[in-house]
Amino acid sequence: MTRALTIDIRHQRGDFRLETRFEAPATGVTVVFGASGAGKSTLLDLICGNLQPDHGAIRIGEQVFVDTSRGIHLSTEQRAIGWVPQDGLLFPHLDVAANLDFGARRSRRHQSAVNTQQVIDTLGLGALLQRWPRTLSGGERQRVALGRALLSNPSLLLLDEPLAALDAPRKAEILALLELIKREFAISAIYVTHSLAEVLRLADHLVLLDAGKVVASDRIDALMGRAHTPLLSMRADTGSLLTLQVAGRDPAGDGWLTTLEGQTVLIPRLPLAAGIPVRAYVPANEVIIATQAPQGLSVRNALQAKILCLRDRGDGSVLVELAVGAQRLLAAVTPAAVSALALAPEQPVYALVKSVSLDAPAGGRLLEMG
Amino acid sequence: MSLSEAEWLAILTSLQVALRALLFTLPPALFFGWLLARRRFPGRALLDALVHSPLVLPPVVVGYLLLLTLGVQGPIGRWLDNAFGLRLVFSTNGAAIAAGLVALPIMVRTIRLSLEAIDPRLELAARSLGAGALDRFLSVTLPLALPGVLAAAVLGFAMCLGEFGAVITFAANVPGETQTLALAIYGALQAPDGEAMAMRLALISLTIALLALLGAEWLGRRAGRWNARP
Repeated sequence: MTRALTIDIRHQRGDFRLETRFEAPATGVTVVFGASGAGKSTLLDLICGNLQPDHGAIRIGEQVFVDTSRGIHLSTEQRAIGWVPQDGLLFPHLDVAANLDFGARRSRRHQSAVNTQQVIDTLGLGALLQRWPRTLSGGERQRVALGRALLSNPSLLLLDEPLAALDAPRKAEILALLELIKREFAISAIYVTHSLAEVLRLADHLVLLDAGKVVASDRIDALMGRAHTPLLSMRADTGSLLTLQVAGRDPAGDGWLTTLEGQTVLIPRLPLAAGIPVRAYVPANEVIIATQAPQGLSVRNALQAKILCLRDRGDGSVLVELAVGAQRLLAAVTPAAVSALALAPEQPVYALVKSVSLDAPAGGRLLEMG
Repeated sequence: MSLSEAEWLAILTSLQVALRALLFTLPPALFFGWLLARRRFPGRALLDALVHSPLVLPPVVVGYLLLLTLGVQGPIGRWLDNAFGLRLVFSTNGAAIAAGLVALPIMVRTIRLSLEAIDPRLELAARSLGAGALDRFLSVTLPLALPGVLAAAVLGFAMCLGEFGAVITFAANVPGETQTLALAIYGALQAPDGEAMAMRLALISLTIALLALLGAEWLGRRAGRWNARP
């Protein structure tokens, strides 16, 4: 890891204590995930320099934002942060073109990594340039805010729940754009959210924050599909991220055939060329465990797997962590099922996947999502 | 309606006094408005009270306090006289300071309200985009507060045009120097056959005040045009 984002801070604000320490790759999207009150906004204030930490340091590559032990404290304007809050915060007295230009003109870093025209084209801002922020819809506002942040040529993009204020169709639109941005521009971004869907779509690295403390920080595929990941494994919608290779159309139906570690998985739709990997999300409660090869079932995806571990969540469900080749799959079953089937680690089983939701491509072209 | 030389002089003196008062008062009004709207510091309540005191003091008292401090015998006045040969009493600048001080609270209040209406996170957004303190104030805060600042300027101008007590106490009633419309009207009313002159001057006062208010309305709309509904 040549360029890393390192955050190691202690900060007390009233009764709330933030004690946060993690390291993430400086390129790609690091999602900070946590409930409200977990300390996300305090962490953001510290990163953008709105707050000074009591102790600690924040570094991105060689650039030190703050280091209390060395007495370094860059002001917000010196940090070159592309901040995109949930309401966009466009300057109401400037038109879209002037908003976009605001950061670009003040950029301190001269070798610009982004091309103005490319940003305008990618975000579809060409038709909005002469408009006033007041006349824009919520989705348009967020597009302009993203463009303004990108054009300021930031060392770090700070996305603060940028979708929280949007309705579902707008969310999907901006999410798709964020994926596009992620691919088109080699950005470093910290993305703060409490939405699991956004985590699944965008995260390369995931930081789980709870009551001011980092409870886990790792690559997303090392945290998803694990029975013991804090926070995530306790959620009702917990599940696994699988990487599937598209093999081709299903000759027997409308769907598509993909392969997962050499086994075939049927998915309902996804018009992508063969060989392109697809990131799919499988909720744990959509997975059924069978100890024998199933027959006469409507569920068509039966994967050979091996039980790695079991975890009783104490709420009437047991999480079963399965290995499918090198990938992990979580299944939620009842304690009664565990004893009836005598499920135990190292046991070979069949995992029946009722549905696969294709949330994001792991590479290649952007998907049209409904 | 033809005006006598004395009447013209009163009009010009009034405009001089009001414009200079604006020039002297607007920068501190901006500074205090910003300080009270955006900063938390010890003694803030005291400063707030001091800035507002001319609003509740009789203008004559304001003029008298100015006389005590800036008058030839006052500590600051004596220093100004010795160091620069500058005497404020009986001068147009003195009248402008007296009128401006009476208008200051209203101006500070108007500016402060318009600054408080601005989302401070817009200033943070400007910082994150690389704008330093002065840049931020000039490119974000001031343009957003401009309708309020213009309103403050016009209110201040109108108040200075009509200020009487503080001006006559500190700067006296010197035609061509400190005799504003209000003072000239008062003088005309004291004279046995001055009623017609008083009436003319009163009408002129009214005209100037109305023009200023209409101009302010127009400027305010232009400054806030980004805020118009589509």
